[in-house]
Amino acid sequence: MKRRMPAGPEQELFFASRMRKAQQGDGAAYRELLEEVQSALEGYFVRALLRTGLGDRIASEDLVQETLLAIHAKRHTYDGEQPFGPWLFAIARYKLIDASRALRGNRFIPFDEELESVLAAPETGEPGAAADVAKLLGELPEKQRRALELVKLDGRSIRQAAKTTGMSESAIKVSIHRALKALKRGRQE
Amino acid sequence: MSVESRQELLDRLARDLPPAPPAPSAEVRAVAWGSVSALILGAALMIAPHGPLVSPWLSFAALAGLSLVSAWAALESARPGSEPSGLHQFWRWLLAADFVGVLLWQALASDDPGRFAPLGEWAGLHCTVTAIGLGLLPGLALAWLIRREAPTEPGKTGRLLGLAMAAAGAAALAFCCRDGRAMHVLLWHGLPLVLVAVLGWAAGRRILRW
Repeated sequence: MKRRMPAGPEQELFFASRMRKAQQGDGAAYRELLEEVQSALEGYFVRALLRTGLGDRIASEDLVQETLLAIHAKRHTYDGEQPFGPWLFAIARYKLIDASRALRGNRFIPFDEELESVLAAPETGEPGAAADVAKLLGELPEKQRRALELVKLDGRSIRQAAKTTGMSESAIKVSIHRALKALKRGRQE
Repeated sequence: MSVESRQELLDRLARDLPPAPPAPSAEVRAVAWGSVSALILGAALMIAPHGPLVSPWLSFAALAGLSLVSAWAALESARPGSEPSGLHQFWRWLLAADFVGVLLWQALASDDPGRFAPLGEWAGLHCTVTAIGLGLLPGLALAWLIRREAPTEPGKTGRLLGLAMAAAGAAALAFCCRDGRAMHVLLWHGLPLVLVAVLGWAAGRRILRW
């Protein structure tokens, strides 16, 4: 596997020189640039999505692809006299904001219906299922277990759960999503 | 997207790459836009009833300058990673202050007891509408230039576009309007700047997305 060039002045010079050549129609230089840029973008989006708590709703892969296409379509807007990094990450940030805006009004986290029924199992009085769920819940990280218990078992709202745990609402949603995923894996094993 | 298909995408983008030389700087394009707008507005004034300047020439110059500086800032902000410098902001504020200051001073220094009467004359709204109408074509030309770029803050760029458009229209209006009273010019010729800047902010978030 090819090693990624570390961020810094060397990378900046590499990016800027390749982009200047690409603007003149040099496909080989452009290919090299895109190869490095995609690695830089992957790291940027993974970190940004984690920080914003949007990781479960926006795929970093899609953002990388969107940004690569945007770089291609708007490559004439890069001024060869200016640093490449601010240009690149301004586009990346724009694509991230655009994607998060598209989510506005669609705050629903798609929970797996099967898992919802598993979580409801203790109330049906089936001792086996209840024991299974209790065991699986016990294996979850503390934050995920607490978020899941408060919202899905105790029936509290995301806001109430956030207040109780001191976590942000986004973090609660992400924790529940991850906990459900982990439970699903646990059930399948 | 799998690693393989990503590689295919990169290959596809790099294949048959047509040259895409960088566009001229924002200053150059702003001056070009200013020249084209002057021609458009000049042609419009040939058709519309017009006459010599009756409002203070300083307020006219401030509007024309404000339009050009706002267009420059809008074009600058339409380049990713490039922010309009403090110089743009300084000039915008200075020219806006010039427009307001000259007219306020003239009104306050006047002995005319009816000097504030234009503030309540709704007929002045006609001037506001005319200024917006006159600025429409220059505004569309600027929007076309901006859409060729990549504004990463469409709301902000839209606000500057609106300001440039309305200021161009208001400057041209100075040759159509026969009412040179300071308060009339300040309120009814200045109002489109605020209105269109707000509209530009709201519209820019939609029409300048890419």
